[in-house]
Amino acid sequence: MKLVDFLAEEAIIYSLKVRDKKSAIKEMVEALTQSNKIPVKEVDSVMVALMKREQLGSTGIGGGVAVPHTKHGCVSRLVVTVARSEEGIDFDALDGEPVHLVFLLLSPNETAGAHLQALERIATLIRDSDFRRFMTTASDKKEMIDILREVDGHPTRSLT
Amino acid sequence: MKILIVGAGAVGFNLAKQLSGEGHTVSIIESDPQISRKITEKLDVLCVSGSGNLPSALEEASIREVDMVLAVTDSDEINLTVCLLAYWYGVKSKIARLRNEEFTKEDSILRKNQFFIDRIINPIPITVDSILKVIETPGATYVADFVESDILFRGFRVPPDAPIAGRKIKELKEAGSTDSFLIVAIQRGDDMVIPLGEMEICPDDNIFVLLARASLPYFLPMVNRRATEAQGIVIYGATSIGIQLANALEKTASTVILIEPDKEKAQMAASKLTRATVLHGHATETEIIQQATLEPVDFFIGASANEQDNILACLLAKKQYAKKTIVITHEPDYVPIFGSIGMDVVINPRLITVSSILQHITRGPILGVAKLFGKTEAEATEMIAERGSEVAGKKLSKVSFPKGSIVGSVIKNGSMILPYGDCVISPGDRAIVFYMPEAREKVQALFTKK
Repeated sequence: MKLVDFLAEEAIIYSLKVRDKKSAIKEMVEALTQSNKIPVKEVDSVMVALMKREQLGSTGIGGGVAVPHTKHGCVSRLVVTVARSEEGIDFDALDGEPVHLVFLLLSPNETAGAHLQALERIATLIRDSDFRRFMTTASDKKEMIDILREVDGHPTRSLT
Repeated sequence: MKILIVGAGAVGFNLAKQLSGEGHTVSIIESDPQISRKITEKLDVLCVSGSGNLPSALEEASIREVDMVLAVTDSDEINLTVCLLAYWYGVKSKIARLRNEEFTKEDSILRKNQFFIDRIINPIPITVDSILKVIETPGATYVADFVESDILFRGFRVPPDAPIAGRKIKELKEAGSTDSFLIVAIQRGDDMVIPLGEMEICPDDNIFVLLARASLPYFLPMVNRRATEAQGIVIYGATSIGIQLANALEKTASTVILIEPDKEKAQMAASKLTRATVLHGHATETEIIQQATLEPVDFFIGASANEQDNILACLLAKKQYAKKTIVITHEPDYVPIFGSIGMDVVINPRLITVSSILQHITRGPILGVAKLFGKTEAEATEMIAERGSEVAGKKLSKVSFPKGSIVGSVIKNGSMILPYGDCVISPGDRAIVFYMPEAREKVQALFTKK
């Protein structure tokens, strides 16, 4: 499973403007509409689904990373996007720390394996503190994409 | 299948109970006449009173006819002899419980030449592994893995501030299907139930969940509002388990303290460990407690050979300084009361050994069993749908599963699928079913060729 195959590059946000969880997710979902990954009229319904999942347990799984995700009928294949926040977002994360890196996943309703594989891939990647550091200190959006391509090209190799 | 078990301690007894309950023909050899009398009273098995390392006893227990021998006495030497004799008698499958590392380590002479043993089960590393999993899984009270399918079976105590506390089971359905988890049982006080959609998860419930390995990090925040990696660990008892635990934990945790009352054992432990601190004394002495609690203590683990000492030390630690306690006990009869006296996690090496041996006995459609021991001996079993069985080729909603059972997950081509009504189990697909003991026979029959 390669994340970059599903990555909506145009929707990547180099620096999130907002500081709270809901606004951050909203900013990312809107970026997905601007890059034509999801229709504008679905924004509200996608937001509801994502926030509903957050209420059952934060997707801020620790280490300054959050992975809001849901299944939704408005996509026909898995869509992944990433955003960075310098100041950090209050995600009510498991470790209580602010989140600096957000991966957002949307997958179609009937999908079985791909969604879980993507979740697993992200969980594996972010266990590597070098990956987290490189992503959060990237100097622009292109560098973020390059890092993701680099780690995806060598699924078992870490960055150092 | 015909199975001969040598040794009727807690391991042998529970194996016999399980396997005879599944309908296998079980015979037992036990050297203590008192224990063998008890076995005959409690179980419907042939029990021979005698020494399992003697051909006469083995023959009396029909060794010539059995398919499998499980050598599970307390003695490595006897278990080795039993397997060697079983080899000479031509028994197909031989499993031995061995504890001495000289036999069980990877490069041991036995591993290289174990033509007369098919599988070695060493309870010590298995127990250590379980404890490590508990420590690295915040809130966990029970851990078992279905290795073949990469599916985890976990128990969690639900704290009052957990996001899922107060939610109904049906509210979790969508998240469960996206994140691949299913809550199969809720234990409230002494009662265990398979929850229906309307049932609410309450604070202090012990929930049991089947989940894909990949989804564990995403599930943890549902049962823990906050959690950080365990940093301070105190272990009581420089037993093999205590030392191996300290050895594994000193690599990850910032403080590991091992307390041992026997001076020689303490010195021996100190020589085997690098970063961990070894304190010589009792875990209940004020001075020792002072030294052990200079840093915050996330886990206190009672791992000494003395059951009562472990319990007392855990109670004291829980009351005074430790966030969580893990008590190691060999006494299955104690297990049901621990929850009520505030022990967070109970680890019984003998019962873990039973589960581990059961994982390695392929029998009919059964690939592996994870048992819960306590007042309700419920279990989760991974089974393969045999061609021509009741479940094979049918929609799940058309299969009548007995009361007290729930399909936890279906595994198709290595992927976990949540078992909704229109899901079809094809022959060769696997499923994990959770059930109460009274439903066992019916559940297993559904997966077996008619």
